[in-house]
Amino acid sequence: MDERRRSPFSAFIGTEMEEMRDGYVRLSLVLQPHHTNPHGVMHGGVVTSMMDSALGAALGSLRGEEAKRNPHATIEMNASFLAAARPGDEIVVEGRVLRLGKTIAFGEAEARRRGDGELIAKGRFAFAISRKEEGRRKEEGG
Amino acid sequence: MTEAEERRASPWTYHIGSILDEMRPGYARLSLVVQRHHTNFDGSVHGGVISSLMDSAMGAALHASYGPDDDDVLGHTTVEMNVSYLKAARLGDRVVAEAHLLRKGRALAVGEVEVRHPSGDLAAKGRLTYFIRRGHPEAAGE
Repeated sequence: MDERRRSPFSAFIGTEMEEMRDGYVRLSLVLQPHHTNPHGVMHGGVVTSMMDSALGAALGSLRGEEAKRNPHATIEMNASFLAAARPGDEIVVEGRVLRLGKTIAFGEAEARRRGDGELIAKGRFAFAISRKEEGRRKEEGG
Repeated sequence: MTEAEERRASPWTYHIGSILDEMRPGYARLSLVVQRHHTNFDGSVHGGVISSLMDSAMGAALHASYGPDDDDVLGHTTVEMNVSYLKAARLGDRVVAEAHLLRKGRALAVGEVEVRHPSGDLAAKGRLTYFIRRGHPEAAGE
């Protein structure tokens, strides 16, 4: 696994990047006991983290080098938690970019359990695309 | 809470390193110091860290709200959440998440969480909905 394609927090969770192509990313994670809440099922924060990472990367796959100059950042997210998952379950998250604009991008993600394919969670995210580079050029030029 | 109790309370909350500072009926406050493993490539905090904090804080506030009328509660589970990311925290920042329960019914509870920077600026705001499972433990076996 290429660590450069995984943020420090994704590495901390333990997600694996399975596929990345234009506007699409698939990540997976085998749930461990430390990914749970007091009820022994997956903590909601684990799957929202995976969805956020999948979409951040899916957007990166479309933006390429431009994403390094002018990074994108999550500004809004919503998630519906549809079924519980437990340690030992493998969670597969697919992220798809819905629209990439000049300053804003939208994407959606689905989390399913590998094997039976049950839908665990679904989310939609909005990202802001910074215009640092352009701003600086304007300031320098202006 | 002792460290062992906190770990038992929520393994994921413990694993990411957040600290439960205060918990009373309908309110909870958690804090976290942003470390390298909580970040994106650019040193800003990963959105999943914030959503994890929010879910943990609200879950604690709801848990603390259970009174004598709630002795049939088997547990609660997050069904929906939305988050607006307003200003990213960075490496070394201590962020504080405050959760307030807005309403608790028989089956549903809704609350909101604010995450703030050390300066007091709002880092993110979220609203979460929980389903409350009730019944008699002996009748609830699946």
